[in-house]
Amino acid sequence: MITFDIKQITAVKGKQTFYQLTIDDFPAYNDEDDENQRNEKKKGVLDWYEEELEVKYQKDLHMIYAYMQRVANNQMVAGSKYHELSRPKSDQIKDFEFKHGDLRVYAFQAPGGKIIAVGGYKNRQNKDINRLRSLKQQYLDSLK
Amino acid sequence: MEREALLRSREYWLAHIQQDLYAMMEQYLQQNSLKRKDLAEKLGVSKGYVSQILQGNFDHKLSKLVDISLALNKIPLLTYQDLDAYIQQDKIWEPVPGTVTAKPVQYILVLNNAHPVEISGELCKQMEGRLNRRENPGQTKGTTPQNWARLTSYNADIQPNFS
Repeated sequence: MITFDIKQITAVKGKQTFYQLTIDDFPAYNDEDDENQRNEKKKGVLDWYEEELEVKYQKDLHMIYAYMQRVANNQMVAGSKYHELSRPKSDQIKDFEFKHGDLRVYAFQAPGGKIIAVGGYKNRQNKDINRLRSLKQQYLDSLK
Repeated sequence: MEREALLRSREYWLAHIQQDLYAMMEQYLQQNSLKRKDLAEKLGVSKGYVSQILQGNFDHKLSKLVDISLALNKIPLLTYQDLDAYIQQDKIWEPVPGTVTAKPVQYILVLNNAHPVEISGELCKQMEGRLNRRENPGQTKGTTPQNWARLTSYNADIQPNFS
C-alpha cells in the first residue's frame, strides 16, 4: 500500500495553493523542525521529475512553473498551455494539464488549490493521464 | 525549484508577457465579437500568426508587439524594477484569497496584477456566462454569490468593483 502526503510548492505563490504529491516518502524530521522545514524535507513527484529532467527541458519546466503561477493568481492562461482534462462523469474531481514544448504536468483539484500528481512527456500522454487518475483515486482513498 | 530561481529565470517573465498578450487579444476578440480571421485581417497578418499569439507563443520582434498593441487600441507599458528588490518584496508578500459577499453590478477583469481592466455591460455578462458554464456545464442557472465566489478560483479573475 502506498503512503501519500502532500508538499506545498513554495515556488508558486498566489491565491490558490499548489501542492505536489509525495509517494512513499519518509523524511527524517527533527523535533525542532517547524512546518516550513518539514515541508522542505519532503520530496514529491515534481521534485523527482525536475531532478530526472534532461538539461534541455529545464527551460520548458520554468515556463510551466510560470503558468502555474498565473493559475494560482487566477490570471488567464492560453488553453494550449493549461486546460482542464475531460473525465468520466463518475469522476467528481477535476484534472488539469499544464504543457510547454514536450513537457506535461498533471494536477487535480484540491480545496483552495491544486495537487500536482504526475510529470510527463508529450509522447506518453495517455499513460501519464492514466497514472494521474490512478494516483488521484489512491490518494483520495487514503484520506478516508 | 526555489522561488527565487524561478523569479530570476528568463522563461518566467517571457511566459507572463506572452500570456498577458494572449489575454489582451482574447479580450479584444470577445469585446468586439471578432473571429481570429477578422483580427488577422485587421492586423495585416496571417490567421496562423494570430493563432500563435492566442496559444501564448508570441516571440517576435518588439516592434510587432507594439504594432499589435496599438491595433488593439492598447498601449504596451513595460516597466522595469530592481530584481533583488522585487525578490525581497516577494518574500514578505502573502497572497490573500478574495471573498465575495454579494453579486455586484460591475466587475473588474484582472488580466494582470498591475493593470486590472474594468469591464461592464455585455462583456461582463459574457464573461460571467462563460465562467458559469465552465463551473456548471449543461446548466443555465444564474450565478449565485456562492457560485460567484467559486468562479474566482478559475484562471480568469473577476473581482467586484465597489468604486
